[in-house]
Amino acid sequence: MPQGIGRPYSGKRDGIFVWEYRMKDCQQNREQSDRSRTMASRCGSGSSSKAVNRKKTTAMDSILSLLLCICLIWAAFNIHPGGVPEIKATPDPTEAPSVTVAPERTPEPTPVPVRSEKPTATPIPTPAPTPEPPHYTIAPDAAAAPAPVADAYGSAGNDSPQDVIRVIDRAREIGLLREDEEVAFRADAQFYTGYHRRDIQYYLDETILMICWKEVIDGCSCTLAEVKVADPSQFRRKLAGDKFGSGRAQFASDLSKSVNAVVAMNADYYGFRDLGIVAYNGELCRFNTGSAYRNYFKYNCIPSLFITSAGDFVYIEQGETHTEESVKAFMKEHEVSFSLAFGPILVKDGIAQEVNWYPLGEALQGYSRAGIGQIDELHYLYFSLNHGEKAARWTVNEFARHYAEFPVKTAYCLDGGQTGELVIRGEPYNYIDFGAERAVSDIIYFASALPEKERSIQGG
Amino acid sequence: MLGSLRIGWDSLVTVLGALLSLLMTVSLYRPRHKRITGALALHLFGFLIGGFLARFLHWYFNSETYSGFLEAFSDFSVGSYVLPGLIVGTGLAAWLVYRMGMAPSVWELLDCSAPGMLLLISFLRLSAAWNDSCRGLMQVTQSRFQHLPFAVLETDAAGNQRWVLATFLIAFNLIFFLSLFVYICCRRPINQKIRIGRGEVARWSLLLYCAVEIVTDSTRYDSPLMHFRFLTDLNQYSAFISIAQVFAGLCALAVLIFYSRKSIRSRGFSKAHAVFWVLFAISLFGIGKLGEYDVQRYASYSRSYTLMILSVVLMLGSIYGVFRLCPQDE
Repeated sequence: MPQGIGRPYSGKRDGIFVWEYRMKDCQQNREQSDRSRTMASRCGSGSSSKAVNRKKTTAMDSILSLLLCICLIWAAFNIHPGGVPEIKATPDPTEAPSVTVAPERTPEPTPVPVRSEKPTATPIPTPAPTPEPPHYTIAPDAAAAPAPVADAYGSAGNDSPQDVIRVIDRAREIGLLREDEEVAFRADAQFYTGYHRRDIQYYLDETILMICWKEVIDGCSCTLAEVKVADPSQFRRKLAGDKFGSGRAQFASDLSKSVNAVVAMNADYYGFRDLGIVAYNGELCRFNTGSAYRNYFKYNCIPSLFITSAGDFVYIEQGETHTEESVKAFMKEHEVSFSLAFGPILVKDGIAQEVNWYPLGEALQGYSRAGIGQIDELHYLYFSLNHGEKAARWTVNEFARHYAEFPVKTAYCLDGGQTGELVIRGEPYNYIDFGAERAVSDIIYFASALPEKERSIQGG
Repeated sequence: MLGSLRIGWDSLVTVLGALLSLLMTVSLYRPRHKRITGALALHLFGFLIGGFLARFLHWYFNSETYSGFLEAFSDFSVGSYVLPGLIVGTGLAAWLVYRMGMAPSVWELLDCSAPGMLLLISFLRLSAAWNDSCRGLMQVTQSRFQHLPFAVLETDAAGNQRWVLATFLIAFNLIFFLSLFVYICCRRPINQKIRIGRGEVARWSLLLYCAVEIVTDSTRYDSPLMHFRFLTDLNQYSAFISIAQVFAGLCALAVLIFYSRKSIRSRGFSKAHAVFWVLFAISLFGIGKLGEYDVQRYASYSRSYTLMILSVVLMLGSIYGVFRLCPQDE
């Protein structure tokens, strides 16, 4: 402990950090304890056996210097303060992202030819064969999807939803939607025209149809995004830092832009919480069924939603007993691409589900909500409820009931509140709670698989 | 590359910082004690204990970055470090060196090593220039600031480029000049036969570093957060809180308590104490609520960071006020 404390030096020249000397150091202090005197002698500042001490300290200095050198050399090879720099798969913006044509998977038959240059396996002389539309897929390890076609975006006023119906008809014409496939968008919906109103936005190319609108449901401002994709690889998940557990957080809009998403939405914000089963790129990254969580010692605390390689929703239910191995077997069986861990399951087989208690998301309080649902094969509906002109918000059970009014077979609750965000063209579409984006650890997004050279149709 | 070994620029800058830090410490330690054993031992043990703690804390609060505890201490190519661990480790190392009889006082050791520690921290921040850590979350949109040292150009996977706040360089600049300032202040008394009160350099260096860290850490997109590994029930309250900011606040509080205790013991309690404590509490509220909370909640950067900086200044001022109440003579 200090023997004395100085007072601020009054001289202007020396500034506030120079203090007058008010204490005696180990060499001058005659009243120090024996222990201090011994230590002072060891540190080489006065002793009767100076020569012996000098040799000892010199040897000690040499040993310490040597060890320090070894440490520094080791550090030079091993210490990377911020981790290894991420390798960007497509650093060159002019380079086409990794998209492959997958001829073995044919989409629904369509009479409308989109391309004529696709080679056929068997040459048939006359009449000319109807060329099958090519099928595009995005490589699982692609860092970014092909950029959306700027002209494929469009918007319609809330008073002219028929424009959007024409886009849907066009999607049926090109075979993206089946003729009998039900859509969630309704021209007779009560579109939201209050505070933070937005036009209906849409996007259409050969591989993806996206419609986004704001609707008043039960007096509340809701945001919906309906997406139909041609290939399951167009439904993807992006983690900040591109690695599970990177500890990074970014705005959903920045994450969306970084992957060329046509439309992106918040996911489960895995970086904030610990519960659930999280898979990413087909690998099981987190297995925490809640054994550490109170009241949930033996069985799965929250249901997890798995998105298969075919783009379908499968889930492990709350209360199911699972081990890490059984989850891996489940993932292998269903060829899981990634999973989401928030919940609960809102709609199952088209029927709204109810919970009496849930550990996440203030389930039984009125709160901003977000969820993702599956309408049909590769056909999805994102649904969120945020602040609006009317501040009333829903419990999870109310949210589930309203979700089930749409033609979804399965729906799953995502992180809501300020995290609930829908991003189109790199900008938030819905009103975000508190009026500002929150940095999050992950998003899910839908992207176009159409390579830049192959673009032929435009939206509307 | 050396065979299968890789040396990164970030590693080299870190080692260079450690060497310069050692030189700085030795240059302050030697004139007082003629020998440098204590300084060498402090750096060696500081490296070992501080490095371990920094890594351990990162593993504890970011356990999902690693596949296991042993991997965190065997594969250093993944993960990162929590800087407060290094500072705590250096304090422990100073105590150990003192207990081993290699130095006459813990505070004197810390006084001599404080400028060097600041220099090392600044180089650790600088090393981020060669990886992608320690960047700002916010974009710099005004063209007059779109250059170093304010902003750094980032290219994402889609090829989009954007200017983000160059937190690593701002932190480097501030801490580096702080280090030089403290070093010069320490050298002048030696040259002029003037001594600084024991422990003052260490305490004020720590305080000034904490002041810088509170603000710069808030801007980072990869700031280590208090995400507990075992006490997971706490995470819903703590997982948005930065470890570095909490550490900085605790350090400031510890220094305030130290000076308050000292002044009350010698002169008794006075109204001035209460005034400074209230000001300190206000400054913590300003940093936490008006600064950090509003940054995260409303993204109101200019307003929040202005209030945060003012709060930090108020925090330093309140501690200095209590320091002035301390006895001038023992």
